[in-house]
Amino acid sequence: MNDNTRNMRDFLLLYNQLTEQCFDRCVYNMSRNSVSNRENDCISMCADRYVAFNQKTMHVFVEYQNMKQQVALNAQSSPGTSGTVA
Amino acid sequence: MATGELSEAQLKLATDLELEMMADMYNRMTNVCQKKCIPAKYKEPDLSKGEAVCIDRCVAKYLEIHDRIGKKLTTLSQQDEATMKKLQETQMAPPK
Repeated sequence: MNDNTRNMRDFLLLYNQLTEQCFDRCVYNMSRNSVSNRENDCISMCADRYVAFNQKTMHVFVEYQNMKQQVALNAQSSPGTSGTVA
Repeated sequence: MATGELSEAQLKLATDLELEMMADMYNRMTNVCQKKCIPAKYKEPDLSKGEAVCIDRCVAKYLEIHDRIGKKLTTLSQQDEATMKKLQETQMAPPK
């Protein structure tokens, strides 16, 4: 349950972050109380992009972490080689 | 997701989470609306009428957009779930 809670919490935080970012980028005219059509379209696209961005970032992050791990493992299994892992 | 009644512990967890997220949303909204409505020129301590109106509208818009994005994300995750389910079904059934 703890894992689920953490996932839920991460998702909700992402949701809040998404709202903040897209509002900041798309809404700059406070002349009306209601959300205009242009703003609505902008927000919709912003949300899609942000989700895609987040997925891609996670993907690349995991890839990079794996690569680093692999390099570290290789360095361990061959103790003769000296060298620093940048 | 647990179906049926939530245990008391789960309910408390959900309530705490909701409260925390509300507070987080409020803080973010405050930041953004201050950025949009209050210029960094501090000549007088009171808010002008324009600034007050701006804040009013900013908050209204933020909350509306928050709801719309919420609905959008729900749709997206439902679509995602449907896609995952479909993937699983096609994987389990042998290709003819």
